[in-house]
Amino acid sequence: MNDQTPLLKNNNRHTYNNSHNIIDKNDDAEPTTYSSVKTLLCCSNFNYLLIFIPFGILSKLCGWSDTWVFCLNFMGIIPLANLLGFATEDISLRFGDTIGSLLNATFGNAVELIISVVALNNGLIRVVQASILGSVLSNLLLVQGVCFFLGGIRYSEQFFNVTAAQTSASLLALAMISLLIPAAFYTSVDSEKAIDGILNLSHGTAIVLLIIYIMYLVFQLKTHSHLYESETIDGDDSPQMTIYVSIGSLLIISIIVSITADYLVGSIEGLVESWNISRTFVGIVLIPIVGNAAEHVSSVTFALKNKMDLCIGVAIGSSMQIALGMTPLLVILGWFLGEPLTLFFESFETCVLVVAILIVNYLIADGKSNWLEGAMLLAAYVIIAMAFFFYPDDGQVSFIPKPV
Amino acid sequence: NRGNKDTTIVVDDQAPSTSAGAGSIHKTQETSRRPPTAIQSIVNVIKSTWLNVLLVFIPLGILSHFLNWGDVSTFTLNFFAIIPLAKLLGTVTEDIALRVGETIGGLLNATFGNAVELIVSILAIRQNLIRVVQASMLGSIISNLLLVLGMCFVAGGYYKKEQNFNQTAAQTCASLMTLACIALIIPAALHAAVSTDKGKTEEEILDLSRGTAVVLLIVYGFYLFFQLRTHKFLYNELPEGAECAEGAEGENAAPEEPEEPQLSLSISIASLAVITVAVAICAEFLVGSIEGIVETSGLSSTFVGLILLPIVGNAAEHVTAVSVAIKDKMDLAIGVAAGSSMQIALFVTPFLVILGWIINKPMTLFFELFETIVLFISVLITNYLIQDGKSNWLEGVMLLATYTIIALAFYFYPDDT
Repeated sequence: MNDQTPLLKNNNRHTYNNSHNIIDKNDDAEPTTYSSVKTLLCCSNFNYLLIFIPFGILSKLCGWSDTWVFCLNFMGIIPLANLLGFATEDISLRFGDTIGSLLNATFGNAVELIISVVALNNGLIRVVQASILGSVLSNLLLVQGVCFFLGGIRYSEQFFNVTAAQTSASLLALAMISLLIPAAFYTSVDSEKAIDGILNLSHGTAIVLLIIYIMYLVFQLKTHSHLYESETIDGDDSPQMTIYVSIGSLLIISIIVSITADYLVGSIEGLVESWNISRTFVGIVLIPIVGNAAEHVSSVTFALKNKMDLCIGVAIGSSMQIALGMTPLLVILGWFLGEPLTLFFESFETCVLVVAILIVNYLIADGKSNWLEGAMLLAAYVIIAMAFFFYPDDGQVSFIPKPV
Repeated sequence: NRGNKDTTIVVDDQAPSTSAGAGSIHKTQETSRRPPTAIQSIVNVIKSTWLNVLLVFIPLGILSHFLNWGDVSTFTLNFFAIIPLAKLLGTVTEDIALRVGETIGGLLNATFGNAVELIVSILAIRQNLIRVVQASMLGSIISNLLLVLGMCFVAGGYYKKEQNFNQTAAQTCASLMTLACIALIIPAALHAAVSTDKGKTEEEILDLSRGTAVVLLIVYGFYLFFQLRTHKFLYNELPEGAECAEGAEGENAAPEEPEEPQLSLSISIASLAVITVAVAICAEFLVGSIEGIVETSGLSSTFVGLILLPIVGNAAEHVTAVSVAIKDKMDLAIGVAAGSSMQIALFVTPFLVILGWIINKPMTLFFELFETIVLFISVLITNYLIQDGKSNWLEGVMLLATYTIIALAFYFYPDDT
């Protein structure tokens, strides 16, 4: 915690503001609320597309065709993605990459959490599991892959904080274990007795994971925050918005994004019904891509600006949050609501998650990335997506691995 | 998978032709002032390695087929005949590569280096011995990762307490092998989860395999591009052009004089053709005798494919890798072994799947669950042992132990179909 006025503009990233924005800078005055909002709205030409948003909402509420709903909301999400990135960057310039990416991920996932709770309440357990799986996979492999790939084309090698990366890798491994054990349990134990055991196991594990996640937050933000400091110091960037505007706008934008994304997702389901694609594919691959498009795009822009810590914080951080925070939370909520949500995913899905986490861990452990690593992640994602494409629809499938 | 010296070619798994390798025919500029005559160069090539003693088996193998000495003798004789041919193929390819430069050399390497595996496999697919082919792919990967590497660590560790190699390149290898593993695990997992409708499942697994094969080949292409173009600097300090490892700047960076090709271009191309034809002939007889062997000797076809066939394809690299490890060039040894596995996993196997697609044979990436687990374990333990950049004889023993356990398991594995 350093509240000395830095001599150079670019050192204010580690300065925590408590209540008043009293940072004397060399020349520009601290932005006012008015100027912040103005900056936000004028920051890019994409913002002209913002007019599509009310139309998008209208199209859904007035029951226009799925195609209209899809197109209008799609156009609307583009400027939102941009603004999301802008707000996050601003926050990170003020508070550091760690908090910036944390806030981005949290607001992004908070709304998904709400949607999942609603689904859970309606007993749609498989839908919840599918959306969790899809989100984690798309963040770990697709987003990270595109980031590494595109970033690697521009910059020969990109660096990010090794400690942060390795801690993330270990935590992902822990999440993996939390899913493997119930699956192994299921295959070894007689199926009738297994269900009860697995439910109880899931409840206990969820509590453990939540505790770990909270400890991780404390580690990251309090006791070992110095380990997470970015090694590359930005140029002369300074935050262009006040705290309240930046955080507030992040919150509001996230809400609008989730509404728009929700309509997008709904329209996709309609469009796809007629194409007869496996619903597993739609649920695990298509919907998370579409639903998280905004965050994905902002991650990629971070990578292209060589802000790898921010990029990884958003992508992998989001996966971690879902796996270690949101999922256990949902399991516990299910406990209270009497819905049997467990940590036992279908064996194929567990296998896919394990494999994805494995390769991501290998690739981020060294703190460097290049375009080939991005290509590898994308290849893994494509293979997995293809497998889900050929995966027969739920209902006729037996999930017990064939005894060899 | 034959490698080369300062041309950082695809996979270097043969000691590059300086004094480093077993069976190098190339001398540095200083010692060979006059280009040798045609006869002389051929003689040099033949004298270059003790493996060439096995060349006598070629006529024996051919005779055995035509005189009907029985499947076991045909198999065995041709088995020993192919080994020196594989080595010769590598040597000649290296020679040509010295002339044509890195990129083309690398591509040449990829093709001819794997010629033996490719030829044997294509012949086997045509005879519908799909399981044998799958087994031999898997066996090649496992034998390179466990058997060859294990022997390298043990042999090298006998002479030196601890050997070092470059971590970064080892880790790139590890990641690529993991990706290849994923490509093989996913179809198996899919199959295990979806076991009701048999007919449809086969169809879907086939489609998935074909799609995955395309993805893998693209990744392989990217890898070549990465290595030869965009990130050459990561591989360039190699004095010996090992693919999967950066040379330790210290001892190995002795200034090497540029080599000269030993054979004239026409002779090398001609010998390439001759050797390939010889390999094809012996391979044809070899593959033809497999079914007979399986019936008479009681060995399962899986065992034949998994343990025996890979030895044929890999014996040459095996010898090279071990001799190089003894000379404390562990980077090179790992480059040979791991690089070879990678080529099989990312190039040869997908290529065979696509080939099967073209000639309409159901070659898939779906291995039995057991085999997939075995592959996964092998990659896992190898990755663990090479990640720290150091090796000792005990690590070698661990790898060999794993291989023995796996081989035993396959010996007792019941043959279905």
